[in-house]
Amino acid sequence: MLQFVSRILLLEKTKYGKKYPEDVPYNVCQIGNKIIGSKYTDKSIKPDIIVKQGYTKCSIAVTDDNSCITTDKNIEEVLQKNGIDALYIEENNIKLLKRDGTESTMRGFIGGATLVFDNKFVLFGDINKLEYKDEIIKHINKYGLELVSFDGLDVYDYGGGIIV
Amino acid sequence: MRRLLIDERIRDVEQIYLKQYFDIIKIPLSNEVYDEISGHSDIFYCKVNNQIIEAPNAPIRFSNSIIGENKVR
Repeated sequence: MLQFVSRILLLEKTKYGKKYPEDVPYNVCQIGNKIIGSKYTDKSIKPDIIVKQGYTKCSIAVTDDNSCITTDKNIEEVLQKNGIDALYIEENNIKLLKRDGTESTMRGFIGGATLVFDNKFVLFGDINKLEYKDEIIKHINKYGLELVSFDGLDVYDYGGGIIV
Repeated sequence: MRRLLIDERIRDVEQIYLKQYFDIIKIPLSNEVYDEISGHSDIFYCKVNNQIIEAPNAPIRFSNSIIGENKVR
């Protein structure tokens, strides 16, 4: 019985260990020469701007050296105060995936749903699925980015991508 | 060709597009974080000043990266 209880406690500890903010120490991004992080950022990284949101990179799609789109209101406010052109969108139609690749009920973020490179703004899904389609298009046009969108697909947050 | 680190759950049509520009490295799903973020590059890695920094428990290790202090869980 004692062994059984110990096993349950171990399982619970493991389960509850897998949660914010222990999953965000590397979730930082860079806009121009400014590194954006949070109080949870790993000590090996020295952010120039601190925001409340630990899922910092998830919440930011960098669109130029001094601009971005964000799904977090505090990030928008802090970045604007630092002279960065941040467009805030309250987007509800970005999805996360369960382990088997089916859609989760959890909401995803714009940084994770995009990859920006070589003046391309790649959206993982169809821009027409997003409530803030017009605002996003206006913003990326302002910065000379080409939209790459995939017709008919729901928009998924894959955690973006890192060019290594 | 540049290499792109991305969640293994990426759909075929997206992968075909990105293959024009990158060698795709798919991140296997980790058991150390919750399922939705278990293949997310931005959970295990970041890139600042052109330097890759990776979690000590990142699913794929890179020889030219800096290893951070904290595991992600």
